[in-house]
Amino acid sequence: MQQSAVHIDEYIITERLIAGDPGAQELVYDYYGPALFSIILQVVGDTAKAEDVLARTFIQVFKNVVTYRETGSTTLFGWLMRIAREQALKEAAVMEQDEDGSDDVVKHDSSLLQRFANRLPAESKTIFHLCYYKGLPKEAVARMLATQPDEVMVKLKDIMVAFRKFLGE
Amino acid sequence: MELNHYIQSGIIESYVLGIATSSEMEELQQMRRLYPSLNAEIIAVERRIERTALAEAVSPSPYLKQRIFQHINWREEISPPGNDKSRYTFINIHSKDGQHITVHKWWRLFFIITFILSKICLFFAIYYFLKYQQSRERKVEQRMHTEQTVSPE
Repeated sequence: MQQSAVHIDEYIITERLIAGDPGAQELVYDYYGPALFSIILQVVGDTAKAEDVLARTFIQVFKNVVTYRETGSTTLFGWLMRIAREQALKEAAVMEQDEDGSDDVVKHDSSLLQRFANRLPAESKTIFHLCYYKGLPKEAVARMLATQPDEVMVKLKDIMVAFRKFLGE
Repeated sequence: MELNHYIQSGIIESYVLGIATSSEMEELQQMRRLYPSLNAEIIAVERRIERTALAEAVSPSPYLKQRIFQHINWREEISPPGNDKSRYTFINIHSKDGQHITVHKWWRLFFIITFILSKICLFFAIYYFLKYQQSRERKVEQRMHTEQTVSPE
């Protein structure tokens, strides 16, 4: 795989991160920062706010990297991505409270997840949107769509099966 | 076969995206212990998303990096000053000499109320003391007056 050649040696890099090596921190920021920024931007929408979220994400990452092995994460990017999304959802929740104007325009339309969402039928698209971009629990999604949480669970499962196929394409 | 069915259910994708429920996450961790080969599946999905995320990357402002690392350097100076990269001065506002204590802000209110109450008490103490003294003087005066009026007879 050509990809692995380009890929930074994760084990060494995480060891150096855990040791608090500033060089490793910069390397990880330079390598993953823009990718995470794109993920955050999809949730938050606003560039300035997304930058705040990215800053918070990396500060949390460097602080909590000692617990990385305990979290049972398999890849560094997977761990980073989940933290970035969590932070972005927190920011998005605050923004919604402040503004109240729920303009659900997700910028960055060509992203992988958006491309996938665009393929889904309307209802599934809404469920995926509420679960991923809004981070809502299934019960809340069910209430919003006036259905049962179990039904949302089943639909979401189908969506994830479809996503698996989509990734395999 | 069961494992294959489990993998095909999209649970890995759900976990990787961060939308799996806590019970699903627990189940996945259990399955990972039972079938270590699941890890390879998770890695494959994470790598696939990583590759796209790297390809779709959007650069944040170049100043952001400076902001983040400045913040981290600040924090590092509180913990052992290992490297001599210390360009920032950390000022500890909290004195740690063992001579100062920190208390809840409600103590301030308590203190103000106690202070005011003590002033009111003091005022009344003086006021009644003076009144008492005045009445005593008046009594003495009265007695003297009656004695004066009685004695000439």
